[in-house]
Parts: sequence; structure tokens; C-alpha cells
Amino acid sequence: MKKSKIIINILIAVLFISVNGFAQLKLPPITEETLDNGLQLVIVENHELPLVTMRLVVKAGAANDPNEKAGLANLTAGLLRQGTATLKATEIADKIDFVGGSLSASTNRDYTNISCSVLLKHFDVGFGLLADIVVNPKFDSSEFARELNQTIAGVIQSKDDPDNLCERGFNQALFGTNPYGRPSVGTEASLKNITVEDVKKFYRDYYLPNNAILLVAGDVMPAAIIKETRKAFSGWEKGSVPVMNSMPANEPSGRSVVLIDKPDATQSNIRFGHLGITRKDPDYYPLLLMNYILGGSFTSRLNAVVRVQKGLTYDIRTQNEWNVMPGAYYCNTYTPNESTMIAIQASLDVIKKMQTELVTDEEFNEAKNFYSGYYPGSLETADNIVSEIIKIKLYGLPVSYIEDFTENINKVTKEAILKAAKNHWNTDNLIFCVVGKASEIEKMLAPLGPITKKTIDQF
Amino acid sequence: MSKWKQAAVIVMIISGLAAAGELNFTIEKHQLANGLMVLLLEDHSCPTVTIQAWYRCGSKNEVPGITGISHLFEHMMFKGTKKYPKEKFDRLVLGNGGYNNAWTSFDNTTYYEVMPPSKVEVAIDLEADRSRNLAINEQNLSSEKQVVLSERSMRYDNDPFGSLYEQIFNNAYVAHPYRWLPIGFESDIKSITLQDCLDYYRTHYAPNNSFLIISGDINSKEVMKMVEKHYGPIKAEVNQAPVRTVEPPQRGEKRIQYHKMAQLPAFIAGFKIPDGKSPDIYALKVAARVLFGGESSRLYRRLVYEEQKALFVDGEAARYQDPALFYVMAGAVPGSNMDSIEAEVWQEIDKLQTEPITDYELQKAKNQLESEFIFGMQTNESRASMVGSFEINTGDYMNIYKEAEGYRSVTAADVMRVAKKYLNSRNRTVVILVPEPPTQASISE
Repeated sequence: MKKSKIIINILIAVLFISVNGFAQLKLPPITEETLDNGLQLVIVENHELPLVTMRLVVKAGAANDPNEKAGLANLTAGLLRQGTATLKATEIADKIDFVGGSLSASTNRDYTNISCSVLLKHFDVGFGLLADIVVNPKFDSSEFARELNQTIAGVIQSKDDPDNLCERGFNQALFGTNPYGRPSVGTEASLKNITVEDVKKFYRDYYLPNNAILLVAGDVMPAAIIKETRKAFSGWEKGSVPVMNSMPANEPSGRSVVLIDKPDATQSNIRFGHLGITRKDPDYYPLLLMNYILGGSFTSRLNAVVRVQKGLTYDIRTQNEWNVMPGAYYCNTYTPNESTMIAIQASLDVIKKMQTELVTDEEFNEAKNFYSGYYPGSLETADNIVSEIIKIKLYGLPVSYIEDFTENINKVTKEAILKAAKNHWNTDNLIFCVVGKASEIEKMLAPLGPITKKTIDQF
Repeated sequence: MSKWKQAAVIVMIISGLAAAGELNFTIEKHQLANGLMVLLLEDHSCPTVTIQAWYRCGSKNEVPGITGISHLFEHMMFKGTKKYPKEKFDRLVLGNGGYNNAWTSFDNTTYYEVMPPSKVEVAIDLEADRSRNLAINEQNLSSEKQVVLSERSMRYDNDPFGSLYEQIFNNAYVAHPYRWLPIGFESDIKSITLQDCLDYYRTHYAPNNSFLIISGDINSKEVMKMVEKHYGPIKAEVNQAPVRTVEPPQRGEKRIQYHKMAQLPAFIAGFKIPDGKSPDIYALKVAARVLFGGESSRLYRRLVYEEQKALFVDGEAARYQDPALFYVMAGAVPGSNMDSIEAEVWQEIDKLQTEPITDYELQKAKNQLESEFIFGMQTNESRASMVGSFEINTGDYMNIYKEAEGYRSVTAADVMRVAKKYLNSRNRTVVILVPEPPTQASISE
């Protein structure tokens, strides 16, 4: 075993950066290291409370699922803690529960996150389990059958959640056969296509140290963590990561509506939009500020009109999905059946106005001041800092992203905000998805465009 | 603070927590002449400050006809004053790099701001101002009622689990105002008047019926000067009358069939348990961990893992100011029988009454509770919320210091005793979700 060496020390000791007389960015020491097998290790020290949170990120997510096997990445992640070469599923549960810790895995479009949190005095148990389930999972066939049935049951139950249905219907219509069109958890049909051999293959293909990052945050000493990581992860063999063919989704042309009938609904859930930009797009900061003013805060124009003035909803927001490939840029809300079309029209009007005039001084200053003041405080827990570092690693952001955040926010001009509104909203080409009581709302939606009607059973 | 001192503090914190579970922060208490209590938690590890204004009123202070007014009024508190009209409140908080929100529960209504340290006074000024000078009118009340009705639809009417949660309180209680949720009944929300709101405001929003918690990167002396300046001139009011109604004992199981369009059957049950001051809460929380705490817990392992009948099973001993519920919730996987899931849940609960839990399980539950407690203190905001909850639910914020000892002293015999006393069938209410197919639901609408 060769000695690995520390590659970068992003920041040494405590760093203070004063921002506009606001809060100071106060980052704790962060240490980086790469093992010979390619595993990247990031350690964030925070000695305030005696606890540790660990995350192992595998750079493969639902977008890596084969088309007809949506849910494979998620199922693979879920099976990690259901047995290893030396521990049964029940033994893993006993061990982590006994120390009052948590051990879980989740998958999104771009990556998989295996997390473990324990009090410092139980570090050995938590770290040992995390390493074991990542390096030596067993994928026993009876555990597979159980996990698969549970996942299918969960998918069925989630159909009672109108917001979830609305998201599924919208993504399916917008992304089509693009990987982002499939729900990360899969569908009843796609899950039934998956075998335990598929899970083993997915693990072999993507769970490679050179395709992963280990982040350890909390009341820890870097030297000790580096030593423990070498001990626990050096036997994990590197390999070649399959290259995914990225297929850009098609922008919608014209307007169209997907209506999912929920006959007992008293409110309609609405989501409309089109493709957005990637996390790495140079327009990130202008879009962030534009979105804050349009529909990203409680003082946003959409909230002021649709909620505060008209009382049509409890919640309305716009959001760009920050992914490796372009995600959606959408508006979502819910409103009583009878005001479905009124809420949609009012929202469209607000968006259109955003594209025609500069934002006011008050809006502009508020948005900038919000991010300048809020961002340093949002890094309060070590785990929050870890989330920011993951963004740097996964989306290829500059290493100085955290330090430069406020400066980049303050560089944005009113003109850049207007340009972002013009470039990143196109109200002529939109997909609308509405989950609601079709017998009451179908007719009113007709002016929006051609309607494709679906039932809950189709999801 | 020098580096050396910092290191010394860290060592103390770790050894303190590891050895005795003591808290690593001190709470400084002040009291203004008008009765306002102020709790300060000075901590310089992160450049944020949380300002929380707690009012000792929630849905339990309502009466039929105006249920939901505490929560509706919470929304109205964002409608502006003469000094800071309309949306100025939110604009000032956000525009100074902070964020804010509020929540209403059975026993309290709490407002908070999280600000950069140099902007603390902005929040103190805004909170003090709206505690007395709110300017609300028919128009903004009328549109806000629509907003709250939309919130109610989203959380309860259009969500089977939200409906079950409402049903358990509607049915478990017969007299005490916990029988309605803070959201209130739809017809009451619709008919609440401006005068109702003004009366509610005058009665409950007084310095002697509230307290402030300010937590984070502050200088305590400086902050108290700001509090004196903005809250000092506000007059005390005649105290509101405490809730008189005491829930009578339950003398038999109540079973409710709740029909709703849903994919899978589920049930929720509630056993009456004592108020937040009762020391029995510790043993009840241990019992909940033994039954539901993680995948190794008795009920998860049996119903979800081994028999694969349930999609989920969960529960907790709730801590409120007045007698609360120990609740249990489970959902079936497709094709499994809800009756048999329910029967097995009762079997496991009955077992707690007749056999002591093992030393291993007792220690596991205590470790889980300790871990939850420490992980719950990671941010200035979560620490402040915890301190406030202790003041509301146990009558004294200082009880937060006794919490760790409370759990540590629980024995297997205590768990058996509380299981017999509270978790028995005569003391429970069960609401069963009976799924209806879409067509039927459509007709019944």
C-alpha cells in the first residue's frame, strides 16, 4: 500500500471574510485527500458538539438506470444496508440502532448518497458500518425480493400525494425518454423488470472508489480520519466507470396540458414550465436573483399576487432544478378547483411582466442583501458545508465557489436579471401538468392547449 | 477569545456530555417590568442569531365557532403595522439577510427570525411593533382566510394521512380543546370575523403572556438594551383565563371507520397519556423507542421486515402542556390484511405490560434518546426551539437540564408500569382508513 498524500488544503484554520458589513463567512478547517484507489476524502472539522456525520457519494444516480429498469440505482442503494459479507441485515440494524445512529441511502437523478450520523463516542461503529455496506454488500436474493416489494408498495402509496403525481406527470411529459423523465424510485412496471443480477451489475459498474467521494464532518481530527479511511477503504478496487450517453431533452414546442384525474380532489395541483439550465451554467447567479424576485421567496411577485392579493393558494413558487444535465424550470402551486385557471393565468401574467421591465431598486437590493446575509449563516452545521462541497465536486464548480458566492451575487446587474428572465422563461412553449378533479376543471383548461387526460392508475 | 480558551471549552463540552449529558450552553434569564421574560443563549460559533417570540396561546385557547383562529391570526401578524405597513415586515427581514416564519400548535404560537448578528435589532423592533400595533382590515382578513383554507385542503382534506391525524384528535378527545387541530374546522375558518381577531389579539398578545428567546452570536448586554428599548414601553395586560376544561377519563376503546379515496389501508391509534410535567413521559418515550425506534425495533422488525405485511409502522409519546396522546400509525402493503396488522401491534404493546424489556433494549432506547437530543442542538434555531418547547410543555425552561437524567433513570420496571397504566385497550381510540376506489369517491363527493 502506497502512501497517499494531502492534495489540497482548501482553507487552513478559521477564515473570516467580511461581506458588505453583513455576516462574516466563517469556514472551519477543511482537509482533502485522495487514496491510491481514487477515493476522494474530504474532512470538515466542527468541534462544537461531539457528533460526526459521514456521507459517501457515488457519482451514479437514477439517470444511470437502464430505460426499462427505472428505480435500479435507488434499489441498489436501499439494499446496501440489507446485508454484507459478514453481517446480516438484522445485525446491521441492531448495531446502528444500539448507538442511536442513523444509516441510510438515497438516490437522486445524478448521484447516490449513503449517510451515517453518530455521536463521536460511537464513531467506530458508524464508520465501520458505512465502509462495510459500501465495500462488501451481499445483495442476497431474499433481501432483494423484500426490498423490491416494499419499494413497489411505496410507489403505490405515493399516488395519494397529488404533488408527487403532478411532478411525475410533468417530468414524463417534459423529458420524454430522457433519463430525467423517469422517477428516481421507479414505477410499478419498471421495478418489476429488475432482477437481483441487475442490482449486482449496477453495483459492479458504478460503485467504484474512483467514482466516489467520502465526506466526514464534525468533531474529528483529520489525521485520524485519513488513517481510518485507508484502513477501511483501501481494499476497494478501482475500475473503469461506464460512460453515460447524455441525451439532451427536447424543449416543448407550443403549449400542452397533461390532466391527471383525481376525482376526490378539492384543490388542483399545478406545475408548468420547460427546460431550465444546468448548475454549471454561467447564468446561475442572474437566474438565482431573478428567481428570488419572481417566485423564490415570500416577498416574490408571484407570492404577492397569487397568494397575498388574490388569496388563491397557500404556496406558489418557481424553481430551476440544479442538475448535471438541464433539469426543469417550473412554477408550482395548488388552488381550489374553481380557481384553477385563474391561478394559472395570474401566474403567467406575472412571469410575462418579469420579462418586460427591469426589477425595482427595492427588489434588487433585497435579493442581493438576502443572499449576502443568509449564505454565511446557512453554513452553520458541518453537514451544510458538506452539501456545498458536494456541489463543487459533482457539478465541477470552482474550488473557491463557497468563498466567492457573495461576490458573485453582488456582481449581478439589473440588466442581467432582465436578460435571465427573457432567456430562461418562454411562456409560448410550456408543459402544464394539473392533478385535480377532471369533471370540474377539464373545460376551463382547454384554452391552454391540447389536453392529454390520464388516470392515477397510469402512474 | 484566544485559541487556548477555545480549546479548553471544547474539552469541557465533550467530557460533560459524555459523562453526564449536561448541556453545553447556558441560558440567561431576564424579566422586564411588564412581565416579558427574555432568555438569552449567547454562542459565538456561527454568525447567526435566532430571535423567537413565543406567545402562550394556541388552539387550546379557542372555543367552538372560532377554531383555527390562533393559526389564522398567526398569518395576520404578517399584514403590517402603521410603522411597517403591508409586506414591509418580510422585506426588512429578507433584505437584511435574514429569514423568518412562524408556527402555531395546541399550546403556543411562535414567530422567529434568523438574522446576521449586526441586524438583530431589526428583528426585535419588528416583533415588538407587531405585538401591539397590528393594522388589519376586512380585506386582508378575507383573502388570508382563503389562503388558510387552501393550506387546510393541502395538509388535511387532500391527504389521507393528514385526514387520519385530524380524525384521531377529533375522536380521542371529547371535552378538552385538543379535540380540534390548530388548523381549525373549515366552517369556523370561513366565519371568523375581524372583531374575533382583534379580541384574540388583545387578550393573548401581551408581554406578560409571552417570552423572547434570542440565541446565537450576540452580546447579551447589548441585546438586552435593544429589548428594553423596544419592548419596555409596552404595557402589561390582564392575564387571559387558563383553559378550565379537563378531559374526563376514557372508559373503553373507540373505533372509527374513515372512508376516503386512497391506495392502501392504514390506521392511527392514540392512547391518552399525562401532561408534559409528568415524569412518566420518560418511560413512555423509552417504550416508543422499543416499539418503533429504527429497523431493529420490535414492531418494524416483525411487521415490516419479517412478515412483510406493513409498509410502515411508527409511533411516539407526544409531550404537550395538557394530557396528550401516545400515538401509533401503520400502513399495509398491497394484499395484506389491516386487521391482522392491528392485532399484532396490540400484541406487542400488551407484551410490554407483562414482560420487562431487556437490558439491551433499555440501553438502546436511552442511546437513541441521547443522540436525538444532541443532534437536535446543532443550530441556534433548533436550540432556541427546544428551550421554548420545554417552557411551554413542562412549565419551566430549566427542565431542559433535567432531560438527560430523566431518560437515564428509566428502568425496565418503569416501562412495564407505564405500559399497563396508559397503553391499555380501554384507553385507546383507533381510526381506520378504509380506502375507496376513485369512482365511488367521485359519487360520494
